[in-house]
Amino acid sequence: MPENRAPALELRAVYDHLAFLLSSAELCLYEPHYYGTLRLLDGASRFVRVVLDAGLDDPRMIDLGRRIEEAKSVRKSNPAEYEQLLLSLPAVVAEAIRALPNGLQP
Amino acid sequence: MTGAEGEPAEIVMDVIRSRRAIRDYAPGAIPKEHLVMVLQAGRLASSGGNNRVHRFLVVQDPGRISLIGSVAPGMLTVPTAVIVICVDLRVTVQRQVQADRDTTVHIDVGTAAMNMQLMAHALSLGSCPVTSFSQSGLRAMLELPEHARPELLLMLGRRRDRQPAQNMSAQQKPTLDGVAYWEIYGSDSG
Repeated sequence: MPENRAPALELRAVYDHLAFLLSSAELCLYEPHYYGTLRLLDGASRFVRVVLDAGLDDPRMIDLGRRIEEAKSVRKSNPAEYEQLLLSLPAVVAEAIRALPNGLQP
Repeated sequence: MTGAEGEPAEIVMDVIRSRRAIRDYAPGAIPKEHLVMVLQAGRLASSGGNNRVHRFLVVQDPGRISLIGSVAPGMLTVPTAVIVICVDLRVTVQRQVQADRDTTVHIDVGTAAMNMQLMAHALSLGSCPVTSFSQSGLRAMLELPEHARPELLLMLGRRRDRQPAQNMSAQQKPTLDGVAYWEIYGSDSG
């Protein structure tokens, strides 16, 4: 992405994502609790896709998206690995934030 | 379906046994006549009191399928077609069915959906039912009339291959003794 140029977010993609998040919030009222983690994970996955599609060029974001997809893929087949991946993802984001030029600023 | 020959009961059991929820679809349109057969299978499903309060909306337009996907978190992939199974609240009033209290209304969604899935499977289509969607969101996206209450989405698409899916794990597929009892609930096999 050229410097000083914001990614071109598509309004449609933003509203699609909002529709997904708000529909997920509604479903959390009556679906099994463990579905909630999947909805949040899927929401994060969709968000990564939205910003990458908008032109954000960030290897850490690409890596995060890959890790999220990996977690989604093992949710049913390997619950223990799913939990471990969930436990590890916030640290991946934390490292990405700290690596930013303004990452340590308030 | 693993084989098309044999006695009717064996053929039916083979279709039932080999059906799986399929979310990954091969590209390509679904022939109209196949969609009609799937719809016929739904239409011919059992119906509590023969009230026939369900209606089916077929969506094939990719733009409209995309709209559905935005309010259906349970639709994890993009299908070629979606059949929206609705309860028509005008019909429930006509038939004096209490749509919010009569359990057959929901049971009949399931019987119709299963008939459709079995027919889809027999036609080498993949299908997957989805109930994780926002009713209000779907109504708005598809401009459904107030009297059409969406209950279930049936994703459809061409199967990627004709091979039967791998067996489910023992945990997912209980034995007959684990789910069926004879005369006394919880008794050992008869």
